[in-house]
Amino acid sequence: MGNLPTEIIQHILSYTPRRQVLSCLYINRQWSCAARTLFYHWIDVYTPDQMDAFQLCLSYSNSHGSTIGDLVRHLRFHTYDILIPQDEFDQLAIMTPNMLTCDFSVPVTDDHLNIFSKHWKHLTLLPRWHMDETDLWVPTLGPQLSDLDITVSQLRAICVPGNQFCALTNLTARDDGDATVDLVLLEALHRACPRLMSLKFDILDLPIETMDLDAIQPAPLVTTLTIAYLNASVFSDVWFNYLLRKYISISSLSIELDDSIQGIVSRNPDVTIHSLISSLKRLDTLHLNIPMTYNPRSEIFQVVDVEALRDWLNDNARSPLTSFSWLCPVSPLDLDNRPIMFASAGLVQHLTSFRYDVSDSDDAWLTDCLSHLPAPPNATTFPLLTTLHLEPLFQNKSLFNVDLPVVLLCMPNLLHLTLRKCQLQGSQDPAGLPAKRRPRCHPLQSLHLYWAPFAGVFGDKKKGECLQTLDLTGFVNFCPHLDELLLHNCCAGRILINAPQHSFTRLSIYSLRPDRIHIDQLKLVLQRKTIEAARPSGTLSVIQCKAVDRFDAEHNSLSNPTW
Amino acid sequence: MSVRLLSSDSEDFTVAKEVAERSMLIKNMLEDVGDNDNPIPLPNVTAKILRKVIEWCEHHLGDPVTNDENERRNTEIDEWDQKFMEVDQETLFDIILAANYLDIKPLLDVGCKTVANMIKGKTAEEIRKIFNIVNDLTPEEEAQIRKENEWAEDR
Repeated sequence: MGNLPTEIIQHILSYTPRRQVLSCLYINRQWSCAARTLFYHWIDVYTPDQMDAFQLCLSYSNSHGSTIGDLVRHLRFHTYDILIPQDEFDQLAIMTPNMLTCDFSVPVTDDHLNIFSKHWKHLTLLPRWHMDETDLWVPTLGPQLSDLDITVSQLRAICVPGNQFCALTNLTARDDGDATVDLVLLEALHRACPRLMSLKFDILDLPIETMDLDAIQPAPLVTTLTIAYLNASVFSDVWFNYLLRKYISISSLSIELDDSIQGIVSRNPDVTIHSLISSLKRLDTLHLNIPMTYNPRSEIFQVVDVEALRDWLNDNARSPLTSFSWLCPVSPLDLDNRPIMFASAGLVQHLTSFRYDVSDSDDAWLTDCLSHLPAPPNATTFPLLTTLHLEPLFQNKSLFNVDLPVVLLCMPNLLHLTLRKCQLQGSQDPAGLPAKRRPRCHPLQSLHLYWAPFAGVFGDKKKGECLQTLDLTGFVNFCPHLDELLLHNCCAGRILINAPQHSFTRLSIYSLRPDRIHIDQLKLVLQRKTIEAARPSGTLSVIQCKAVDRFDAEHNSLSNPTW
Repeated sequence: MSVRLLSSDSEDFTVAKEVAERSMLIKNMLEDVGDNDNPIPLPNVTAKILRKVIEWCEHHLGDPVTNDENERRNTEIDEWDQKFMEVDQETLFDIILAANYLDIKPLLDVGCKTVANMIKGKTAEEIRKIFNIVNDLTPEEEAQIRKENEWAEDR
């Protein structure tokens, strides 16, 4: 039984009564840990005495140094006999910093409402939370919470004249099927929450109200706007003009678009996502996500006006963006049936952060660029880029080879690099680069590489060659700040990292194929202590480093927190 | 359409695509690679266990897929599954591990429910005996656990 991972034990225990979970605390360390996490996830309190005892036990700390308070996510009181003074309640909240919901299963009086303690910053109201008692709990919300995640119905209930939530800066309004966000509600929200800086909501319906848009007072403090779901068919003149007049200071805009609800009937060709974006003078970060559209001629691309957007993005004089992401499973087509593609050297040169789904095999500019980059000085360099995330979605194209040292030279300030469906070949040692052009080190902090499934294996087994070694020693030494290293679907035969002074906080190595790196053949040397997996053989992968806070591998067989 | 699967001990299985796609891992891999004659290697699953898993997937091919957590949670194990799970402990755990690795949630649920039924109403000592678990808790740690959970035991 020692070989079942802790999360499976938790899964098993989740099918047993809570009393059973308690008795499993005494089986052994692994079961104890699983049972403890599960038991304290949800706490029900039935009597005041029990509450006192629970508060007392929160102050104990176990041998690993983690308290049970950290594990508690949900707390529910089943009696109104529990009355806790505010200072004690705040103490309780400090001890349980990860609490997500706190609730009474019985009707409450205003003496119970100190549960909106200012120390629970992540508190989420349960759907339909005491809807009949809003006049009781709504006033208690105001002075405490800075973040709130609630449903549209609840939002409607709290945004009534006379309510002021002066500390609230971040608000998420979630669709609950009963009510949708409209202009009247948004106006009421901004009256009630004058300090809002970050706002997230869905646009599902056409606004039916007739509002004098010229009289709209802007909300200049709002700098981050997320439209978590925008039904493209209702993106009308009214919404367009409202967003433009209301949110004049937006620096970060994220929109997820969908047209699956109904077809787009008739629309004003000037009302497009592009014209909205290009009118926002302070925009700095733009995320566009169109996850459900697979038709390259979908009308959704007219709503975006993809061509104008591309031209605007590529015009350095007009586009103020420093961060851009485009996630969409197809490349839209223009009138001549040519795919419209965003990535270009000009665009990437003025971005600091770029995330891109490469959905057309002709749109391989950047992936080609990473595989065949000539080393500087002949190459284009991207000195501003700090974050790059590329995911090629097309199939049947030759694999995406990456030459890491050259990538680092061309992107000298890169901090985070994520590449999917790539493969590494040959020496990845920056020492192979011309010494004159090579800086002493590179600032890279995280590297996430996902090999293409079925990427070629180095070396030819039939010819009796051993599988090739991926030696990242030189690379790791070249990037002294490299803190997170993920090698997934890794197709090397062995991995070598001989950097005894280097420390990682996260290492994750994983392969789908048995003939490639296998976790049973990994030797991890931490601070000169060797942790060796079960099957030592001549072709061990060896990773020598100082500290790993989190090590993931197949079976989690090596992820023992005591290291 | 069929798919070839290769167990860790190199036995080659040919199964219908719909059967193999009960495994989310295999389904995602097939989407990634497209049509391909290469067998899919499953380095964590032996032939003996893979045979059992395929048997289960074939029997449950027509089952509606439910994402409703409560529905999955509250369904009792049906008779066929009870018979299917009448195996030695090692095999049972291997099936659970394989279901977890292959990402077949309903099979993982059945396996976990079976183990849950084995431990229901048992003390820690009895559970250790059933599964041959060594108690590595020190008396101090045990005392700590007792102290920490006193409030919950009283009820």
